[in-house]
Amino acid sequence: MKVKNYFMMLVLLVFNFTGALAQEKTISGTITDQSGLPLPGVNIIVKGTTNGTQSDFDGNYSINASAGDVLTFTYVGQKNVERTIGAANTINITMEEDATALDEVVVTALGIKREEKTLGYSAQGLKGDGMTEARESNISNALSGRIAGVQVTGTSGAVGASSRIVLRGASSITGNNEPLYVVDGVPINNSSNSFDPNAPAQGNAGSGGSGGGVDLPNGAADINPDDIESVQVLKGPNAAALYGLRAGNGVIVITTKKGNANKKFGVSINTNITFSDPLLLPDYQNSYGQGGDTSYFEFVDGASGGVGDGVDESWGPPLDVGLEFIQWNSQLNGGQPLPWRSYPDNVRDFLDTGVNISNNVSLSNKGFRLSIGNSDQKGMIPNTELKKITVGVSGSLDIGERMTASMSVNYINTDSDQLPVSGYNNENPFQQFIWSGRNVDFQQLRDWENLPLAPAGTPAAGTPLNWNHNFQNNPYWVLDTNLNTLEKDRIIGNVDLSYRITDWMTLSAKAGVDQFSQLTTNRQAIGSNNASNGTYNEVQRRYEEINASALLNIEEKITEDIGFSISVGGNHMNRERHNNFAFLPGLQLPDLYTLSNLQTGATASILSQDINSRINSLYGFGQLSYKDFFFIDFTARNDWASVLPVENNSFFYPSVSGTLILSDAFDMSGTGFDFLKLRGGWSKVGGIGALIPYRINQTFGLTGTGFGSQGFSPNSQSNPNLKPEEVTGVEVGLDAKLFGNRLRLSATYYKQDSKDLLLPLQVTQATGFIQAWNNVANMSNKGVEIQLGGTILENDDFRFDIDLNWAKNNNKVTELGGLDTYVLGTQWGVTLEARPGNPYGDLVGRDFERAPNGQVVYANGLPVIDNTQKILGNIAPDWTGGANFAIKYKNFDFSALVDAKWGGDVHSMTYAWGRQTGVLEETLIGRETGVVGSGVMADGNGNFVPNNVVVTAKQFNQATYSNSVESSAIFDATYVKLRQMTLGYTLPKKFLKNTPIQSLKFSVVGRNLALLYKKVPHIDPETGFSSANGQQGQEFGQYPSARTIGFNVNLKF
Amino acid sequence: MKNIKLILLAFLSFTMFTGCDTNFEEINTDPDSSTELPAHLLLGYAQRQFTNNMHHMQRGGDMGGCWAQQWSKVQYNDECRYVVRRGVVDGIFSNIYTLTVSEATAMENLAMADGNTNLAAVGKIMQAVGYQALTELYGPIPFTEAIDGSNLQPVYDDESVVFEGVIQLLTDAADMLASGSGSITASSDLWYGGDTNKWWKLANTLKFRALMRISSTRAVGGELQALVGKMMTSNADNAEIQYLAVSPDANPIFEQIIDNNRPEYKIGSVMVETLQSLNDPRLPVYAAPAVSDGAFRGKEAGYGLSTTLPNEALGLTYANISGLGDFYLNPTLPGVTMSYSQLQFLMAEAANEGYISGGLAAANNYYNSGITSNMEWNGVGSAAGAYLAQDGLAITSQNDGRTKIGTQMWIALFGQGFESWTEWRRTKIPALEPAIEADLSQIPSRMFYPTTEPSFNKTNYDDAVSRIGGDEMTSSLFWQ
Repeated sequence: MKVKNYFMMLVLLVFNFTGALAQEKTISGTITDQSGLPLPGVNIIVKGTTNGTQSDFDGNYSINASAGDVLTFTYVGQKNVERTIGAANTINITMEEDATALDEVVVTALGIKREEKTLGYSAQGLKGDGMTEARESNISNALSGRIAGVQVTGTSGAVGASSRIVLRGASSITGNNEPLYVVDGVPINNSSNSFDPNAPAQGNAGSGGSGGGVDLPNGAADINPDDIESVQVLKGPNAAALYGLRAGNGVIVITTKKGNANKKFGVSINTNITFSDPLLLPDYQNSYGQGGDTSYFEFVDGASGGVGDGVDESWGPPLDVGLEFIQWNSQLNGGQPLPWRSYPDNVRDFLDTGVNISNNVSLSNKGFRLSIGNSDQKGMIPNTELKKITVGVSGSLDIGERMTASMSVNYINTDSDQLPVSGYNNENPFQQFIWSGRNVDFQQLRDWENLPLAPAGTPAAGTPLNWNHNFQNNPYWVLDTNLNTLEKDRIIGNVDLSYRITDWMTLSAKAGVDQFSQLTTNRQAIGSNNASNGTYNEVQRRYEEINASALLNIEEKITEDIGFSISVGGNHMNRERHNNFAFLPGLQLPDLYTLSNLQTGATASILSQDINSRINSLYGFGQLSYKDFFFIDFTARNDWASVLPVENNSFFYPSVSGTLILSDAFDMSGTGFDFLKLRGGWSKVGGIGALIPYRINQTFGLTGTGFGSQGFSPNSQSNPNLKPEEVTGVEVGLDAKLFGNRLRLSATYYKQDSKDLLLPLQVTQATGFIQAWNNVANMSNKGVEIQLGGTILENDDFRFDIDLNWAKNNNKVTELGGLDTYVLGTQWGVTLEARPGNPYGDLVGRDFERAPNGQVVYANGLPVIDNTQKILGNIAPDWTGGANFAIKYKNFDFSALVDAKWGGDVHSMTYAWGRQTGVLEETLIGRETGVVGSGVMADGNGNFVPNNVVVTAKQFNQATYSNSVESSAIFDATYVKLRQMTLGYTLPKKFLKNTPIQSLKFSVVGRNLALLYKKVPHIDPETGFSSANGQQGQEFGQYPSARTIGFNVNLKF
Repeated sequence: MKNIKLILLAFLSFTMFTGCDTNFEEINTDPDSSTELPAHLLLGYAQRQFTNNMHHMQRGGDMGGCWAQQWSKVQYNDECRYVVRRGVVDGIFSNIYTLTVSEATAMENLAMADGNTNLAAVGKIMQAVGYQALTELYGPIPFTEAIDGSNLQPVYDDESVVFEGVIQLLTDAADMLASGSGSITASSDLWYGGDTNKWWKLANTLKFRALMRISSTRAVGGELQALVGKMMTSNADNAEIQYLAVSPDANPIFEQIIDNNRPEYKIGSVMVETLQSLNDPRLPVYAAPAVSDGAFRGKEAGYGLSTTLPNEALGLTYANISGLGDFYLNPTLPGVTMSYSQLQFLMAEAANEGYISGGLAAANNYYNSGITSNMEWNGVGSAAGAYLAQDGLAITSQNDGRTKIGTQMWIALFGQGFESWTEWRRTKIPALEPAIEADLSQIPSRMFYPTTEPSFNKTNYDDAVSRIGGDEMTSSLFWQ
């Protein structure tokens, strides 16, 4: 803003003095940008004078100057151009984008644009272009590896999978540890609003978990990547002080594309088609088939009527050695024995090729932009899909001289007829692959409509034939029949009115809304293994958040050197949710999924839920500047939050930060520094953390049962003495650019303390409660973030850039209300816990008994389990980093992105169960000879000697890997991924000369191309059952990550 | 300038408005739940949750039923070898406190405030039921300081304190019911449909059972004798929930084996052999013929460590071992908390031990009545006469009585996993060997405390653990 004003003053001066000059001629011309579009608003100054002008809407200019004068053309974001006036009276200029522009404008709190160089905290961003080419349908994933300290966890390769982002570590025990997403100044909901089958019709229905459930896209995934102009990541509480209590985990500021007020009619078309296959699958063994008897197998009914047919394990007879047995598919050939053979690719062949087609058309004219997009995703898991339609409209209007009105609205429709179930659940086909016979060709089950039915009397009776009827259904039938649907309509929009009262005072008012209505349904057909009577679940959610704010902005120069700006304003936030849950535990008629189809005698669970809250805020912020190289920023905010007790619901918090641009303050020419800045800040942010509405007064609940309505006392203790929590942060950093911007460095150190964290403290159930709300926990985070960029080579045709980022965060739970632990999540015997003195996310479970030298103690050849609960690992990584390589050669551009997460642990039940069931490669060891486990055994005299007892491979694996011991399935989750590669070609302008086409770019793109390094076997260490806190660091039946390859065409008229 | 003033005024009033919202309290009041509740609505909830919890197949089945060796499993046999899932064990503790005892306590308080002493007494009985189950499963438990939101770290009381407290609750309840006022809403009472007389009999019956449980630790005769004539008189007085035809309100055995397709639950060999040796008509009720050959065949407790399950070579397969009988797979099979039959066996024992009057003759009467009423409950009551007439069935001496009463009570408690294990821990009848390939050298005498207690209530937990000699499944409880 300051820069603009400065130029305006210049321009005024120029007009005042032009009349006085003589011996001049009029130079005129047109200024265009690199794509040939006219560029209005370019400043043209006769060098060394105050004589200047600006180009008009059509890029035309004229200025009076003398031959020999030098004209300087400057425009924000473009390289300066200088031309000496000769004989010609026309000088046309094509300006070039300046990729290393220092005065990069970033969007910060409340949508206010600031020059990046004046910011006292770390803010890093991405341009929208990078998101449309190598497209991630979930924009959260697009941030992976690009920005220091942004830890992204994509949960799986399933369509609609959520993604979790944590900036600078967890700051809350049970609250949302993810940043606040803000679109065009309006906070949006980023929750998944998923279905949890373990709590059907429950108010707290969470998302996908270790026992099943459908992981729905996180809210930010609704945003159309084609509409994104830029994404700015504000990491610390400093940056976030102005978003108030919801911003303690940082803010992701998304700015959508707008019609340029000065540009003429333009059309942009983008088409993206990609294909997905699994990045990796477990390494299965292919030498032994189904059953428990190594010599014989016979399928009779798939439910133990034969030999080995009721077992879903692979400890049976050897494969591919000429044996023939009656198998499940013998039922298709008249009961004849079939070769007992392996199908090494049976899991890969089960999957389809995923296809994702996205199209977007946008029209813009003057200040208006209309964008229509659709994306059609077909998943690798058969029959899974997700469709999305987005419409974005934005526009601005000048009303008279002083008033400007602008608005933007995005409508998003998300629709899926089938999303897959995660975790340990019969509906997850990967559960079946782990509990399976390696002799099964799953593909043959695909045509289930023409298969006979499972025999009467077996658990799967009435459903299509499968290789096992005790524990499994035909997996294709499950995916085709047991549908999990999603239909979501969402509107995110805002209206902004701004009135320039005087030259130095502006008043603006803004109203924003985020509203959605979402219907999810979940079907289980009669005969389903975990719901033999069938079930039907329907959840309708309505969400509305309205923010209304007003801001008065004053900006003035006190002296030539000292400027100040100050803004004061207020915000009124009102959020209302209404959810209806209905669950039929049994169906009367088959294949009819509607709430009236209730099995006779069964009782439907129905529940309605309202969750309403309000936050009012008053705030002020301002900046003092000295000579454009020293800046002090301050903020102050007071929030009133309805979820707190009335007497404690008001809280105030301030922040201050300073910036010193050394390269402007001192002459640093000759030192190599083009730019050097020091920055630092302190902030305090108040918050309500995990606190949800209605936790002040105790209430009773009601539930409908087959026995009638019943009441219950609450399991969560309310607390009328709750108060706000507090996050205090300090950060210092420097930004430098050297050697003609060839080397770019940004480094930040931060320290952040969270205090009085509100949480539902877990208490002994002997109190009658499971949890009690209180302000009890403290947590600290400190860390370093470094971004280092270098232009390795640069000439007219060629440019090679490397950008590296690296971040390390040390998190520690410092206090937990006197407790030793808080359990965040569980899977089988492992718990994910927060423990004082440790980083957030300990994996706790059982280990084997150990001899004094640490070796496993065996008895009778089998390892002895120690029943005490021990810390076996922690999910927090040691560091995260990324490296982006970009090469431009003439009209080609190439980029490759590698990202890494180093350290942190994961507990893999795929590994534990896969060894228990004999399907994994490692279970081949000792199948014929037996196994002597590595460890010691007691010699009877109180000493240990090496274990020398031979046991069978089955005994060894089943005793070592199971749900009775966890340490044998804990692995280092380190990974290095080739996250992305793109190769683009922009058609040279000369080919487009006589066409209406302005630009045409074709790219070949790939995402998640390779796991370059990892330590955990069989699975992708980047995993989670959902984006929720408690679902991290645990794995079972992971849907393989999608390796995506495709192309993108971008056409502009 | 007038405009500016107007705009600033409007702005100022907006900011003032946001600063002081007066209806925050209303916004933060849950429109979907109530701060008040008719007390009787808590009764059915407490009964249903308690019964479901005790009969839950991964709890009362995998542990109680398998440990008492009434049941066995041909696969997924860890619990039956005494390798427990700690999360499941944790859940029992949690559920009894938070879904039964806390409801019962709230019900007593709400009913007292309403002047409904009958319903308040029922609240006391439900508390007694919950606390007794807890102390029998775990040993010392929070009792005197439990269910008090103002004390988040209650002390663990000694088992004797809990038992005396339970007995006192039942005594008070019986007194209140004898002269009580107020009604129990029939539709909320899943046991007795609001019949206060049956509740009065139950209070006395449960008190009899609690006294018998601690009969090896102190004199109980006088108190027992005082209860005679005030207790259950037939199966119609049973404290049991008539389950419904479909999930989730069907019998947990049906829900697990049929609805959830877990056919690995089978009958134990000791049960089959015992019934066969007695020509017991309950055998085809308890067990189904083996799929392989139609014979009744149980499985010995254990296996699954070095002998993998299922095991063709040993015949330990799904097809070769008898599953549970259809009677026990019926979704509407009642879930029993206390039966007339069990009372009769306890009275037989009390008479046999001389705690109550009547001697051997009375013991035989109670014993016969226990068998007959249990056979009636199992649908084979008509066979009871011939069964009792068999040689060697009647009690001939005090020692003979101990074995026979214990054995018959063990048979009669089929399907009540935890109760049968608890009575076995007290009587050690019939003689049972620890499971084969077991993780312990004895049948568990108690359960682990929840894994979370050392964190949530450390001082008191540590103190309790030291009193019983360690948080082990083999630590002895005082009544054993």
